[in-house]
Amino acid sequence: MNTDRPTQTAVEIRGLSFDYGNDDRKVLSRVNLSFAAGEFALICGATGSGKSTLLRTINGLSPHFSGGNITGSIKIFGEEKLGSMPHELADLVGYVNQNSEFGFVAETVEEELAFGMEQLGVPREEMVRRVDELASTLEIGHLKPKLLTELSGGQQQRVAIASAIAAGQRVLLLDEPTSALDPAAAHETLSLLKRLTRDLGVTVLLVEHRIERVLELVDSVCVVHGDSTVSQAAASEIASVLFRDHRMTPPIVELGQKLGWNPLPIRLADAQARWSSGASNWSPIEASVLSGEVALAVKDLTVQYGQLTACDNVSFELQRGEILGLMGPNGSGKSSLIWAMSGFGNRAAGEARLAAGEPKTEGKESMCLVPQQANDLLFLASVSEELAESDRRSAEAPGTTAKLFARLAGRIDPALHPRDLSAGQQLALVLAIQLVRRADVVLLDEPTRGLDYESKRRLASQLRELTSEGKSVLVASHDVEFMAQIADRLIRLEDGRLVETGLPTELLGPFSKNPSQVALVCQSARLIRAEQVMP
Amino acid sequence: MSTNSVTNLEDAPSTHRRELHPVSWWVFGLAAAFLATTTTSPLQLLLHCLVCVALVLLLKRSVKALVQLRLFLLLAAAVVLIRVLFRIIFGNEANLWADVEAGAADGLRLAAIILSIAVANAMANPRRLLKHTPGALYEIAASISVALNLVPELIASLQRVRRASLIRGRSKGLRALKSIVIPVLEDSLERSMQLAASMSARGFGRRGALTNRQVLLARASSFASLLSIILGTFYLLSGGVSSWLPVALVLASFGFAFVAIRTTSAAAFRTRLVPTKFRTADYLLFALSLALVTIGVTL
Repeated sequence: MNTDRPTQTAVEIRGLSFDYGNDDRKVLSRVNLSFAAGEFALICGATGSGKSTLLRTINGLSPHFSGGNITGSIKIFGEEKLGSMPHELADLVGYVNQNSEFGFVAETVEEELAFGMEQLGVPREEMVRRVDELASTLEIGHLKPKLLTELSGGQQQRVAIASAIAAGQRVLLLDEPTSALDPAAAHETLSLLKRLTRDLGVTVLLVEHRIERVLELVDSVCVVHGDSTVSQAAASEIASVLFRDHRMTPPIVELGQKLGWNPLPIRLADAQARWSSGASNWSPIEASVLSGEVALAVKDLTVQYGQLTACDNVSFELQRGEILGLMGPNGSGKSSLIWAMSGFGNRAAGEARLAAGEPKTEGKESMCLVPQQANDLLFLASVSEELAESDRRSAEAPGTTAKLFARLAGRIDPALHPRDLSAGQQLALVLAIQLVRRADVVLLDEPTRGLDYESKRRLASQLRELTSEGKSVLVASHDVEFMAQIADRLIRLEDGRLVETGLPTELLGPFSKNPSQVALVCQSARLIRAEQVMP
Repeated sequence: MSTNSVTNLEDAPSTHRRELHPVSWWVFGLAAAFLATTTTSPLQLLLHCLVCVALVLLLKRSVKALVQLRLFLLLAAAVVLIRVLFRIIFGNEANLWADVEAGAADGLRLAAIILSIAVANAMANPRRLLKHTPGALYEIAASISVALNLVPELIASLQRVRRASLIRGRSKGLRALKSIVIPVLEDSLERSMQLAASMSARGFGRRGALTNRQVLLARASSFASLLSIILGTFYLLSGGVSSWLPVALVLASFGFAFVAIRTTSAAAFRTRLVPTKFRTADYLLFALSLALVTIGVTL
């Protein structure tokens, strides 16, 4: 925070309550929060705790776009704004959506940057000046004449952020802006936000799930507990508030807890100092005891969309009982590869052969896929109907899918609507539906989006259980920490080509392109996950 | 980077790929659709459909446009088929052939309308229209634009969900349809809502100070304008009613729209980075559209 200026309060929330008007469950109850001008604040909480709702109350999107009842007080720079419509607050508060591309209004970057200012009636000369200013501050000048659809995910996010503050908005709200980005782009976006708070004095309120990379940067943290209460603490006191809740412990904190460090480290540098000051025991990852038996061989697989080559002669083998991680930047061809392997996507050349030796075209029983938007597969009105439909389709005895689902997700009320399940539970439901057809090979595309740490740990153990039954798993993900947690081996794509194959310690180690947090703390070539460390 | 941009703006107002103004394309598409409504000649309608398809194929060769065209074609074919089937099932057995012929012509007419819209949709994303709506019609323009945007959105999620439902294995009958329709609708609505939220959060829908009476007048006349254009189009398409009623309704719609624009234009304060400019090509397309409408009226 800038200490030269007297600290002014940017957003002041008092006695804020919110509910959606059904079953009297309050999402937020008597919440008090305060954010200073130029503060960088993280809002975190478990899946479905109400973080996004809290964020959206600040510019009126809740309740105006979601329905619901709101009471209390929200002051922005001292003025009461509770009940205002989002467009009435547009000159004060900027908002960036989780999927920035769904929020784009214009076609070119320049038009998009100007859209908000046009609505606010900023004179043309000033608009031109501001567009230029922003373009150079955010290093997007070279993108101005481009079409928004030509941009990479990271560039799109940058343009969305620039557009949200183009008219001089002093408060910026962001809902999981990095969840679809690869590690490099995510890092760039976060440091950009930090710069906005420091250099331009913008107050940034950020909702995030993957908090391990954010804690380093923020001034304060709000924890939405999910029981309608919210607590707020300065970054230095975060540990005691945040990490009583095991749903929100990133690896670095898990490490600290395991070793009994007090205070718990938030910043990498602190953890590094702490680690090097005392010797700890840890076990190297056993050189994966893999079967050596090939479950699936992908050979010279090429995927083409018109002129664009999404996958270029990709070959690799998936072993029996293995979890193989598939990494690579946005647009490197991960999803295309997975779909082509499943036999349902485009494929220009090559093949994916199962151990039995048959080409993989229609044997839906031997390979199954959980797509990125898993809930695309859900369409019935209750969990029990989905489970029964699944038994029927796969010609299994009634109750088979239900049993599998219970094993993956625990006890869940079968009368619930599938859309009311948490992201993790939905994923488990789709996984059960897909697995019931006795596939030997499971393909998962970006399964950790929107999952909190506890859900990710549960997913990891579910996948482990599958491999112990001899099934093989291929997971595509940006999530470095999740990969460090589960992968036996990793492959990495770049521009559709397979550029690297290796052990997680090699691809996620301290000197690699995408080091895990624990690797960065410990700087040992064979230590990448907190689990390896002995208390 | 920042030095040349001002001059750039002056020299080349958004000449990115020298495309025509989106409004021109939608005017053309609607004019072509109007032309289709004025005839029942199967040959002429068939020709109309073919020209529309040829236009999309010639002018837009992106993969996405072709996929969208295919879906519009499927829709058009389905409409023709349903019309004919209805005539067969509910028609008069004595002169079944005449009934089927009439059904086909009727279906073809709707198909020609659908394909005319397909041309506009392929050439200019409906989302782009949004920026060019007059301030007075904001609320209605926003809803229409979000609704229009639902079409490409629906197409995109239809493709995704259909692929996803394949990997879940086949189901039969009504369930197969349900397994696609429900996720697609949920997804498209969700996305359109996100767009609307994002627009609102950036100030779309702001206006200057208007008295309550002015707001009421503007809203009422916008609504009346919309209603009369819908009714006018309906009567025009269904035929049968006297010929002056649809014309009167369309004229009334313009009148109401004029009132709405006049009422609120005093408080309009939006600015433009690049002032909207129609170029020669746009005027040519307008002239062509006018010609189409004239042909339709006089024929």
